[in-house]
Amino acid sequence: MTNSTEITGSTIQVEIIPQRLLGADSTERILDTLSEIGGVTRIAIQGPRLPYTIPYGPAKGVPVNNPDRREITVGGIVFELKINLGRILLELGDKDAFGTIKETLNEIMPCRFSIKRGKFFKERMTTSDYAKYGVIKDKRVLGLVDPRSNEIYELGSK
Amino acid sequence: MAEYKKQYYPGKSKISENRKNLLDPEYELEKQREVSDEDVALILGHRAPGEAYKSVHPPLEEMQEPDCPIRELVEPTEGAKAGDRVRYTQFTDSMYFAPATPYVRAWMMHNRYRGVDTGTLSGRWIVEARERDVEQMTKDLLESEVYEPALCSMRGATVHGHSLRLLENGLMFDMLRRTELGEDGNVYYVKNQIGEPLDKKISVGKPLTEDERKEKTTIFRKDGIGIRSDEEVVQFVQRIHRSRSMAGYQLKI
Repeated sequence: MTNSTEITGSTIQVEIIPQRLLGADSTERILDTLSEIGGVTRIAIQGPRLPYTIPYGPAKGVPVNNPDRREITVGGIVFELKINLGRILLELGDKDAFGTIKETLNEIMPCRFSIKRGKFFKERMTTSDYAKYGVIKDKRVLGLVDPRSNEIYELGSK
Repeated sequence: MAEYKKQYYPGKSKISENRKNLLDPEYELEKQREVSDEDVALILGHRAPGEAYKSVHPPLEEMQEPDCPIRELVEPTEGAKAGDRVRYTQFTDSMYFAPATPYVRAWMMHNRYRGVDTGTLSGRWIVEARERDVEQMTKDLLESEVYEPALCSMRGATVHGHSLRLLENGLMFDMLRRTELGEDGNVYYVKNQIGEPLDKKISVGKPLTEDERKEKTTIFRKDGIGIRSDEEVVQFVQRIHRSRSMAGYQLKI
């Protein structure tokens, strides 16, 4: 099986961890800036989920109305942000991009952060991926989809 | 026989001092803010403000209760006297130098209040008691130095957040966004403790500064005052651990 890094032709992956959990405004600004930097091929974000309605407890079903859960625009693509940003994973196609990213983040990050290179995206499909999506044809999406989400991604053969 | 003075908590570090203060019923907690009875009732969400307490009917005085020597010995709390129902209040404390921790709160309850059933979990602390007693306790806790508006929060359900990084604005993460930071710098409750929206915002004051937090905290932290820096606390923890491991607290065995 070919792995995703071979497909994108890159082995440079970067993990950025801010010292605070970031809200929608900062997330939009940071991701949009990162997406404009040449050499960034993939971006994944992680963080604690912000539910649309209260999922359990005596007030189950009551809307939460969290201002951080809203639509954001990153690189011209509009999507709904459902988390507070706690971790950014990047894959770079260009070695020089790492330095640029570090400098850019120093300017735009509202708090202290750590940044390091390593291996963060998964390379192969897991059994759970297969059970959920079938055979994923575009390997670039591996590691970008939320395995806990119940939303159906139109990624695989299912 | 020698007279012993209760120590309440071992150690000489600042954290130990703070813990001793909270656990000592003689120590008067420093009042830092004003929260009205009405606001406390709103955040708790057990009854509407001004509504009568739901109590047993017929009233306890009219009931023919069986003779009980314990009842004669023990003075009932206000809530027990009125026959109130049992309600709860629950707090979550952030790991980032909050002034209280669930365990400290539980010890504090046992030392300072009567008629309580308190429970401690990793990130939250709950107490059950008669309704008007719960309201009084909650008011005491909200108004005193035990509470820090950004780092402590009343969360009846969905307590997640104590071990997470703080939000950008310095508040503890809350999935249900019960509190928000106002433009005036005060923290406001916009929902009650289970997440139902309130008709009005309830101010609980301004968060403390970083230095004040480190001065008031009861949390041993490596980046503040580490537990290993206080030898007596380490000895105490080791002694409890050993006793518990060796004999499950039954030291006669």
